[in-house]
Amino acid sequence: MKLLQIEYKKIVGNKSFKVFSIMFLVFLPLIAILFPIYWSVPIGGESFYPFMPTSYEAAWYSVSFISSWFCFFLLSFILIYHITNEYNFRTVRQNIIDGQTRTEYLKAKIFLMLSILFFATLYVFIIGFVGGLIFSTFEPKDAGMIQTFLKTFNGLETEVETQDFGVITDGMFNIVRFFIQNLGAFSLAFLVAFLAKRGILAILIFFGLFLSEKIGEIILEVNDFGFVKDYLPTNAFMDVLPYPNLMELLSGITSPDSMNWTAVVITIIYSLLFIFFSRLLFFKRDIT
Amino acid sequence: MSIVLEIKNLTKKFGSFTAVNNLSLTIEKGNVFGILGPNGSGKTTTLGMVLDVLNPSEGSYSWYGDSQGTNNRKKIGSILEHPIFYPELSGYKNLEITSLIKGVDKSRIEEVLTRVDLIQRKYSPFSSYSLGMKQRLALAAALLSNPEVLVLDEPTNGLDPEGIRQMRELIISIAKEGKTIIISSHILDEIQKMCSHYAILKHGKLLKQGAIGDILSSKNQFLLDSNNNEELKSKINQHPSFSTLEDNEGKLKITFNDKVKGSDINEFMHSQGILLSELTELKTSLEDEFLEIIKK
Repeated sequence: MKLLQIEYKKIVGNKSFKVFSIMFLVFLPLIAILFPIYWSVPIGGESFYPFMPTSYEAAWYSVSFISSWFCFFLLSFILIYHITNEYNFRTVRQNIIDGQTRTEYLKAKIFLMLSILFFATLYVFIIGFVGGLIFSTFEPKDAGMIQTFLKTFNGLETEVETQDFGVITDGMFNIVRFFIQNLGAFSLAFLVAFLAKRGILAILIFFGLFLSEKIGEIILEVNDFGFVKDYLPTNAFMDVLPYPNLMELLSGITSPDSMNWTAVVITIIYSLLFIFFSRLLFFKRDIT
Repeated sequence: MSIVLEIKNLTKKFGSFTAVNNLSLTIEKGNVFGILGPNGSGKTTTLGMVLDVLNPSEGSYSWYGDSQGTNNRKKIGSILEHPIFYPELSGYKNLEITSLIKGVDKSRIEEVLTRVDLIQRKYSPFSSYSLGMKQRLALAAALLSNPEVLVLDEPTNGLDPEGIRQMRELIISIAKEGKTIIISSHILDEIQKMCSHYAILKHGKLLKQGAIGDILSSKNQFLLDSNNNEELKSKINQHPSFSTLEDNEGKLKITFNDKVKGSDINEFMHSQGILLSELTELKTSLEDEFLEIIKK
């Protein structure tokens, strides 16, 4: 707790951290809930709303999936910024000089990373819950309310099915998928921050790795080594909370049935490896 | 005397460059230990290693006999190079972080801020402080845990004469409390005024170490002046301990074979009918010793 308290004191007075956090808190619900309402694809003279969930289960998935992209980039960026700032201002050096051991320092950063992840997951849970209420309904009288809501926001006429209260838990495991996927992303951001020590460089490496892996996947596919891509880090992270099936989207977004356990295990292994290599770097190198 | 810091064969290499070369030192409790050396002699690198920000290439060190030193390190107050704090946070908030790291009660913050005369500006952001204020905040952070040992690397760097005086007085007052102080500086006069022991480094190697008192011992030399220096010259060589005489900017620098008191010389010259207008005992300064060793 003391280590978390130290990290809290550091970030609470940091203006940039506040700005990014407010951006996250404000934009996430707007994107996760309003994007499915407004984003439409015209097909055969009609507008299709591919991310518009019509059930609670689909709402959990839709909110988790859209939020995961937002968190993947924005929260990873916040984490990178926080760690590299300590190198930039040389406060990491001062913390060690003041008597914090390298183990304590690293633990504090891991706790901070997990706390950000925990709160982000909790926030996505709340948005998912609210999103589910908006996109689905339990009683026939509520159906009218939801239809009014959708009509008010984009003039959309939608048939909303009524459901039992028990459906709330259907698809809730998508939140767990969100947590695991972002655990992978954050641990990669963590390693890159300790590796590069400079904010801009770290962010370039982070996005560079992401893009280069995507290019690598295409090359592997072309050369009949497509199976290898399942074991690459960012691909494994994405497989934990996979993209919706494009064909299925035309008939409305649905949640993937079961957990991709292979992707989950690979993501956890990569997360542990990234933390391990961060520790190795932090202990091996001088803190200048 | 108990040993506070023991450095054994410590070496630090940056690629092919050796910054500290096989350095061994022992610092005892209550010492005010000055580490001297020209720029690039390895002073800051040595302190960086014992404060765990630089990894030694070879050798070891121990605080209070504990080579890990993890818990003992929290009891040590340190300033290494420039004062470093979170720029957007106030002096008070910065010290809150230091107090959490050191496991010290928050009530100490007001105490140390008062001691370094920063209490009026405690809620101003660190980035708005002058260099002297930043340096004093760094000293406040170092004093937060009421440490038994203070490690100060060039504590007066960049300060104006008034700032240097304030900092020196603070350090001397802390030393009087019996704390062990390890201080690196290239201002020799400062070290001579504050330290009980010294070590001189050059190119990362230890050239000499010892007690300041040993350097400042008499050289059996006196500077004499009178209204008739020609007669003084003819009479002084009759002194039983007289050795040599040389002119020194109109005055006479006399060297004796044995330890002689100034009062004895005055009495002797008076008996010879010569009134002295100046009688100054010459002592070796740390600067003389330093320059002589560095030249070798």
